[in-house]
Amino acid sequence: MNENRQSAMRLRRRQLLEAILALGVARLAPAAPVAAVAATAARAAEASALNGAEVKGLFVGDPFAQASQRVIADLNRMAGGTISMQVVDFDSMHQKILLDAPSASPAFDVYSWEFSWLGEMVGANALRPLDDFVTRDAELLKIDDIPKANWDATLWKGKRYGIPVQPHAELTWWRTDLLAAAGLQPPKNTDELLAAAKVLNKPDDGVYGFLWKGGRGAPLGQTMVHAFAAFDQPAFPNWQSGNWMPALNTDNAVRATEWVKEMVQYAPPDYLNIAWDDEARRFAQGEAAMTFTWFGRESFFSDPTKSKIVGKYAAGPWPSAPGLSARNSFGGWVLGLPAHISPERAEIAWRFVRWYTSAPVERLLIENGNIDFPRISLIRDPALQKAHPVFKTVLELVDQDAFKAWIRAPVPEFVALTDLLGTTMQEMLIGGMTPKQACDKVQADMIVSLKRTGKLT
Amino acid sequence: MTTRNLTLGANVRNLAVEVAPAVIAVARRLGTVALYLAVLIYLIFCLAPLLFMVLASLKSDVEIFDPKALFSFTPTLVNYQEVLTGSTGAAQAAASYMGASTGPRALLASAVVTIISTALAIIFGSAAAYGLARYPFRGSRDLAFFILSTRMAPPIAFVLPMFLVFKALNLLDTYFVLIIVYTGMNMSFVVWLLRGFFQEIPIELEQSALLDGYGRLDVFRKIALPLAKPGIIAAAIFSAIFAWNEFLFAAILTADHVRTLPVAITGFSTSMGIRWGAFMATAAVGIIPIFILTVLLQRHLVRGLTFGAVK
Amino acid sequence: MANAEAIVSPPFRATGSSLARNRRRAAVLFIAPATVLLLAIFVYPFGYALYISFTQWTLGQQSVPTWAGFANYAGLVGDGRFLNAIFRSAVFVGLAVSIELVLGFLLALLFNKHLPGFGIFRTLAVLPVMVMPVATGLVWFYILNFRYGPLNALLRSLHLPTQNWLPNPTGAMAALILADVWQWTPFVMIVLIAGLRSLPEYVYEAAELDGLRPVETFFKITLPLLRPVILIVFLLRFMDAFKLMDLVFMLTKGGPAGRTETLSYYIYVLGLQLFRVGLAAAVSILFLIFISIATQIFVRYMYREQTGDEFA
Repeated sequence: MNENRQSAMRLRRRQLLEAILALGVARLAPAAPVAAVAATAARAAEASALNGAEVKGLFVGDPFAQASQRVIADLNRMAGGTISMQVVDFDSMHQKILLDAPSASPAFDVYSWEFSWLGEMVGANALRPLDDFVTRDAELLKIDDIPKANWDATLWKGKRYGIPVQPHAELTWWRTDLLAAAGLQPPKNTDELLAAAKVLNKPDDGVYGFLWKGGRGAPLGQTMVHAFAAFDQPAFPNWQSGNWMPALNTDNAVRATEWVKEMVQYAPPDYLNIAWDDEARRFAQGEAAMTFTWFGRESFFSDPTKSKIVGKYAAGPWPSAPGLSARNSFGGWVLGLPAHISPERAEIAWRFVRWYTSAPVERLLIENGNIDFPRISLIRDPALQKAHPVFKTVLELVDQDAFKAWIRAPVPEFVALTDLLGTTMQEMLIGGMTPKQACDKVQADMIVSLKRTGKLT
Repeated sequence: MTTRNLTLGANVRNLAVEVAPAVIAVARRLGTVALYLAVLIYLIFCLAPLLFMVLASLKSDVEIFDPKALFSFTPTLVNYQEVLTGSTGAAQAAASYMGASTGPRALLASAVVTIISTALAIIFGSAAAYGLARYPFRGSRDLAFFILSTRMAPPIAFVLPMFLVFKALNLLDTYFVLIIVYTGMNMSFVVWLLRGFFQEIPIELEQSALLDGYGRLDVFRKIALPLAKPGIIAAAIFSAIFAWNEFLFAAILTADHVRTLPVAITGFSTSMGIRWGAFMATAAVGIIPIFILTVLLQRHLVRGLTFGAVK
Repeated sequence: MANAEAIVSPPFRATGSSLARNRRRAAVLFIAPATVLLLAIFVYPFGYALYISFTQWTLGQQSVPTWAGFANYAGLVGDGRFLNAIFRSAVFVGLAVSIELVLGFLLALLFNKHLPGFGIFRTLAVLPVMVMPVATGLVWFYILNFRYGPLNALLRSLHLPTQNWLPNPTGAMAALILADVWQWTPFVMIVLIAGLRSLPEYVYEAAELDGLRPVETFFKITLPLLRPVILIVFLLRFMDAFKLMDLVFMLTKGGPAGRTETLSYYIYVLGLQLFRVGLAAAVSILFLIFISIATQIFVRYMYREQTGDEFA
């Protein structure tokens, strides 16, 4: 409380000083119109986003935060204040935001939350709606520059809860040389992907068809959600209208599961243990002809001192079932304010968020190791495209509106769903169940879980 | 017949008596060699994983995953540089995504919390152990069991209630909270270990001191404690190891102001990948202080556990 | 002498004598600080955990817990995942602790020898205990990795078939046990060495005079005298192995398909990933009850034959 008052006082003092300065300059300036000088002063005040204040943020230890830590001195200077960043791992971020953000006096001013947590966050009353700020500063935000899918994904029941700071997406990657040698075109749908994986799977030569991330729980669970989406099966088709009945054992779902089961035949024998980002590293070592991985991992592939496949790869969206339009999921981080933040701190926090997610700052982060697509202008930028060719692919997907938020619907059940899918599908993959049985089981378990929390009766 | 057998037997026995020492000497030599061999095999098993940890810490992230670069690679100190100084240099920045580290701060935080909580656990724990050993009363066995039971609790069971309590007391993310919790968690081990030690000390020593007019506290400080020193050192070492390596409570009860080494190390695990090199370097660096401590005290360690355990 | 003993040793009954009061005061002085600290730290959290276990509470979906009586406990009775966790814990603790005790004992006999260099060897052998459990998990994950792990590299160079350790259901449990044995056997070893070195000389001299052979001495003298040490180290390892979570978290994450999801790890998933804190608390309470009972049995057994011990 004391701290808040102090920094609020500091803020007001600064503003007063600047106002006096503006007036003084106006007095001294010979023929300069007062208005112009005031405008300069205003811009000067604007350029200093924090105006000497301190902002406390709790961020996940993802590339944006870590790039920020590298250039924290520059950031502080640019923001004209002090950014106090606290960086934690994924699980801790999730726990802390639930435990701390809803409280009456939150410990932080800004929190980073993952797109798929939105429903959970709103349900826990953890986030402050930002519509008032967004409307007021719409021009400064340059909303047109934010990819539509990302922007829409910060809405819940008509209210906006954050500004995207690090959206990222998984793409399909393939080896152009191997495909060309086999006379194949880049796969455009799930059938072609499966066929290509089969042809290119040469374990004796040390090259597998597809590097699959099958780690228990989240990695496999998320992969399954993507696979369902590829076959046009959202997990909760009607949640928007309040009907929580899951659709996890429809024909589409079973077909998706069968497809996954066939695909893993062409994966390395230990695919069930591939987690984190091993698939990207191993792809860089030439272990497989294709893989799914985060587009930021391109730097693994492009560094000649580290990668064995420089110049021999290309990327594209996740495949869909034949006949379906392109759809790519995306994930990543959004900056939000805690629900009960005081009005003075809210202003500081908002100015920080608005500034931090703007193109110039995001550009600085991209130059220091973060690879994502928060602003269209950045992925359009020729210099950045030259440094990161994958931006061209991402730009195409943005222009085609291929990124779909419904794939990873931000419902509170999402974590439970991925956990359930990850566990049951692993069982299926090691031979314990058929795809149909696995789908039926997941459906039944999900219904039990929903009944327990009262979403289904 | 019998006579000849006896003579034969006696001859064999005489021969055996003469040859035996040489045979035994050879057997002993071979036996010794076998012992050293066994020790060597076990030490290889013990140290090999640590060797790989250090090797990995000297490689760049991508090299770690090249099966051919297991032993043949160019070592780099970049990971240690990052962990210890917080900077990575431009070259690393291009290939990795990670930023400043908290290595030095984490070492300091860990050291502070470990040293203070261990000292407190020893002070309170030795007193309690002495009390339980020398002044038993009707409920003391149950009290001793209660103290033991605090070690049974799986940390995850209590982490949420503790979070809520300390949040209400506004003590989260302070040195105080970790010190208190670690002191409590180490207390049980200290008490149970030292109780046996104190029981080993001949009672007569203390009784004569009491008769000579020494106060009870003096008897404790001047007689019992010094005689139990080996046990105290043993308890201190294992308490320090526990506090130094503890992860769950540190992760939940603190954020960034107080950030111990095990929490800092998991900061290298992002939602998209894990920074193996930095992770291994931090782990390697983390062992060093404890190892130094153990080397300095290892003689006392062995003697210490002696007294406490047997009873 | 009897009078002097009465000053310090025997349990006192509450009396009005100043001696008794003096002793009571001393007892309180020594024991109180530790007891107060422990009560302060553990009693409220335990009480709160107990309370939560009777509620239905999922963080993020409810802001306040709702009373549910024994629903959580009742639900666990047929819960496959819960029963699986118990089974996995039993397997892990049973195998890991047994191996650690046997191996640790043999190693104690080995490393106890007074041969040149063995002091250094003993110190080196303790290194595994000092490694952070999260780091242990990751290092073994790396070693056992199918593609780039050193173990398979070694097998390949020896022209032996490489194993797919971690994704294999039995392999994963074996890996977990292996990592735990690697880390904690030295602890057992050190404690037992200490025990061996504390055995009084005169007993052995008497045995020699009586003409006992080494093997007999070992089984009739050494082992029985060491029993308390063995039991204490067993108790400590038993409790710690049951609580183990960091290793599972880094090495297998409970996989594949739940084959290494121990009870401790299951509580973590419930409480800190799925945020079903009510259920997590219920499982934790059951966990505690079980360990308390098991430990009580061991402790009583351990002190059964101690004479002159007030705690018997």
